[in-house]
Amino acid sequence: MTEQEMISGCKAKDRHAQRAVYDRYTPVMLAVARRYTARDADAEDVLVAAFFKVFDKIDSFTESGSFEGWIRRIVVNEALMLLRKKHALRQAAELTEVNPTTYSVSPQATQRLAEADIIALLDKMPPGYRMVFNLYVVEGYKHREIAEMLEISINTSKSQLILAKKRMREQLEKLGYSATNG
Amino acid sequence: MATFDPFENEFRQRANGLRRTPSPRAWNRLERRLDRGHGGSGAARIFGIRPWMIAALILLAAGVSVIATFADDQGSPLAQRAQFIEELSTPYTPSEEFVPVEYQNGVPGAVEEVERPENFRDVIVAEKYRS
Repeated sequence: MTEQEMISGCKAKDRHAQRAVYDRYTPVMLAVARRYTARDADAEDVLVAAFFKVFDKIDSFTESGSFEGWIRRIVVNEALMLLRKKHALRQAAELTEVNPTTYSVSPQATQRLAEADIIALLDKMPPGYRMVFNLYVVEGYKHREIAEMLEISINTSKSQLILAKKRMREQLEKLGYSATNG
Repeated sequence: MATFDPFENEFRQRANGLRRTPSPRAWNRLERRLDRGHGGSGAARIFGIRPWMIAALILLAAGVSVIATFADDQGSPLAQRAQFIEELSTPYTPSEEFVPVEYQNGVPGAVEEVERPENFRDVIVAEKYRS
C-alpha cells in the first residue's frame, strides 16, 4: 500500500489503512516517544494517544508536507502534554553566566555510542534538560520555538540545553566513552 | 533552522536511527479507542453524552411510563378483562313469552303500593279540551 493510498484510506476511516499506517510508523514513533518519556509504558501511552489523534485529525493533513513529519510532530506534542500533566516541566532553571564551550561533548564519543546507551543517557537527565535537548538537538527546533512550546523563556531554554550537554558529558564518561575534545 | 555542533549532528543521526516495537496490546488499545471515538461524532458527543446513553434514557423513560400506566389501570373497570363475550353475529330479539302489556298494566294480582299524600290530585285535562 502506497503512502497516498494509506492516507486516503485513513480519511475514509478504513481500518486496514489505519493498521498499515500504524505498522509502518510505530517503530520510529515509539522511539521518538521513548526519548521524551522516562518509562516504556509512558512511551506506549503517548504512542496510542498520538495515533488516535493522527486518525482522528487526518482530514487536517494537507498533504503538502511529509506525512511522517506530521505524525512525528503529533507524537512530540503528545509527549509534551504527558510531561506537562506530570508537572515535569516545572524544574526549568535559568542560568545567567554559562560558558557553553565548557560543556561541549566530543563528536568522537558519540560516533561509538551504542543506540541502547542513547536512551540510558537520556533517562539519567531531568525532564527539563531532556525535553530541551531532544527538541533542540534531535528535532531541530529553535530556542524561540522551544520557549513557546514549553511556555518558558528563551534564556531558560538555552540554559537547559547547556546543562543537558554538561550532564551528557558526565554520563558519557561514566559509560566509558571518551568525552575529550578532538 | 538551528545550527548544530558536530556532537549534536552525530547524536541526532544516532537518535533518529532508533527503532522500537510496541507491544501487541498497544494496537488493541488504539482500536478500542478508535471504535469509541468514531461511534459518537458531532453534537451527540458534546458534554460526553454518547448515543447509547440517549437510547438507554429513552428506553428507561418508556419503561417507567408503561409501568406507571399499567399500575394506574389496575382499579379501573375499563382495564378489567371482559366477563362475557357479547354475541354480535345474531341481532337481539325478545323472547316469545315477552308480554309488554303486563308491564303496562302492572303485574296481575299485585297490590298497588304507591302511597300518595292526602292533597294529591292528578292533572286532569279541562272539559273543553277533551275531544
